[in-house]
Amino acid sequence: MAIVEEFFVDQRDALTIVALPNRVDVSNTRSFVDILQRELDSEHWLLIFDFEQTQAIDSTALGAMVQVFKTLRTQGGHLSLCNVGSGVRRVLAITRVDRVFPIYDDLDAAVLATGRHPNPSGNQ
Amino acid sequence: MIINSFVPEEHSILVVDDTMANRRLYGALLRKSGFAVSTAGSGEEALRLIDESKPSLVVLDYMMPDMDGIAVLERLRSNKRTEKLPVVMLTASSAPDHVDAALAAGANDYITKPVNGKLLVTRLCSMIQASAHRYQTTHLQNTINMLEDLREAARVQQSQLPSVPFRYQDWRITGAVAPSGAIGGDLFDIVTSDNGCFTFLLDVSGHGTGSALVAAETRSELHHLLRRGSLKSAVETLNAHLSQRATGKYCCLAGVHLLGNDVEIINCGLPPVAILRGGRIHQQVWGSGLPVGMFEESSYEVTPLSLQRGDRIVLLSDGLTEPFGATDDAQSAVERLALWPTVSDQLPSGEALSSRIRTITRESAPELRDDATAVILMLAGTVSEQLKYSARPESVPPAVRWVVDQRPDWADPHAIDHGLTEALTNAILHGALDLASNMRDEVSSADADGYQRYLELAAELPQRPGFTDRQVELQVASNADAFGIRIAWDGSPCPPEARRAVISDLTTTDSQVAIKPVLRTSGMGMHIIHALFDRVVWDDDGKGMELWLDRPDESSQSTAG
Repeated sequence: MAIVEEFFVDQRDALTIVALPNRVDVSNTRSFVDILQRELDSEHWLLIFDFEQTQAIDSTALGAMVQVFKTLRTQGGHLSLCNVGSGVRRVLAITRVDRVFPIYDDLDAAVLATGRHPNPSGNQ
Repeated sequence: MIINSFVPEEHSILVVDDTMANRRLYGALLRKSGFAVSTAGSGEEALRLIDESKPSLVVLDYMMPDMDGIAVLERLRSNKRTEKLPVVMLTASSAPDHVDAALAAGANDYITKPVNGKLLVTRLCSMIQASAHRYQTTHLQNTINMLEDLREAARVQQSQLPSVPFRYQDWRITGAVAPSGAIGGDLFDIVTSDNGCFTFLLDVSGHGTGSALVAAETRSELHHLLRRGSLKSAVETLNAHLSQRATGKYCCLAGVHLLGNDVEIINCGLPPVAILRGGRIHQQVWGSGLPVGMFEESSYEVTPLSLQRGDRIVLLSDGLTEPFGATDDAQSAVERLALWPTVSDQLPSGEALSSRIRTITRESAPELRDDATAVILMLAGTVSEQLKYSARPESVPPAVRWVVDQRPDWADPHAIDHGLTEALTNAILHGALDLASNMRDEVSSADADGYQRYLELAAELPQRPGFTDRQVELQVASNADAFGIRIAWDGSPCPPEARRAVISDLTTTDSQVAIKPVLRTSGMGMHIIHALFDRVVWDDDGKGMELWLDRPDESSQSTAG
């Protein structure tokens, strides 16, 4: 399978789906943060991070995820994760943030659950 | 930008003159010499083009309507981005005071009209080269200064680590930090107070200077909090404070509070804290709370444990566990760092541990490297006996008998007999007597039994002039779960490549995909030794080894019986 090195953002109605690359670490967390900031500036408060292509994340990436989670929480928004593989799941488990983020097996389940969440911005 | 050879095509020149004929003339001259040329017919246009295209140099006419050359130059020199842009002023030869005015306004050079084409090109080339050289020198100096700053910061960061091995009552503590860059966000520290002794390992998210600053601040605050309260209350207060600061950083932390043989352990986001007993991980303490500073509302719990003499507590940052996969978080790191309890009851020095950490982190890909820290706390005092023997082959049988007599009931005497005979014989022949290198010429490769010849030579050796009688040292230690034998010798070290039994081939049987490991060995009979003992641990200098037998599980004993 080809290694995906870019972030991809997809909009489905009120949901913003961010597909993460093979690895998210100090080398590309700046791009990750910029992308997330753009979404927050556009008042996209319902986010899904899709980890299907992602083998590993480091503490810098986890910090960025937590910051977004907190921002969304203050706005009444929602962040969920899906397709989390063993490498990423282990980091989430060791740091116990797997108890903080809602995690779904696949994108469809995440879309279904996150879509039920009220959209605080009212944007489509 | 590095300018060793001057290439005009890499430089663009802006010609500013209100007379079109001059612009065409100078433009053609400079293009012919290979420069990229743009032109402007007024001061305003010149400022706009300089802002947009950032030329390497500007040729600026003094006399222009509206905004003259001096006004343009003053604007350039008052702007941070263009204050050093090289400018050559074109002045009329009939007005010598223009030269003074141009130089006073910040022109780098001047050329009087009518312009000599050859002179113009030569002057511009040397000016661009000089400018590039200045830039290169300044850039290099800035880099040197920055690296020196980082080295100084690294020295300060290392000097703030506690001196190890550290003693507190019956406890011995060691640790080492290997940052992925010059400095990093990992550190460990030891705090003693009326409340007992606290040891903690901090790993601030991210790497580099920002993380190092947060780590230093956190360490200082934790120091203060631990002197006044419990591990739990200190971490809770720290979490409240760090959560309120908008650094964007959080801190994974593990701490141990020593209270005699009892300990309290807290783990907030680090790999499991491992309790080593004998040759096993007796227990792992996983995180009981989220990383500190991540969420203000987090709560934390400590895990109380009662430990035995010889037990070790190992704290690891994720830089030491991540490269080794998800299945055995602490086991691989403990194995590779050789942190198991030792017969000699010794902890590695900070330098030795640091060297081991750097060795194993070098094996991981550069993009996976993270700050890496290990801290080991040991409750000293395993039962230990020690004897010394002359380094002669005839010492082997009585030495082996002595060890067999010291063994606990559950330890297999045949395994000890065979394995120790092999190890001790080789320690004497190749280590203490160094026969392999001293007497290589006397053992022909054609000898049918080179090993037997070595034994004969060893017997002859004491009669030779200059022979020094060396000793081998044997030590045994046992606890409830393991029996260990230590062999140490003066003489030659065992080379690293000969210390391991290597699984070199994988073969499959015809009918099923069964993997059969084939052990290849390069000296020291390591295949026999590895087969008979549960663990073989080498001294860093290769002049000592420990052989460990682990007490079989009750369940496996009954199955075997």
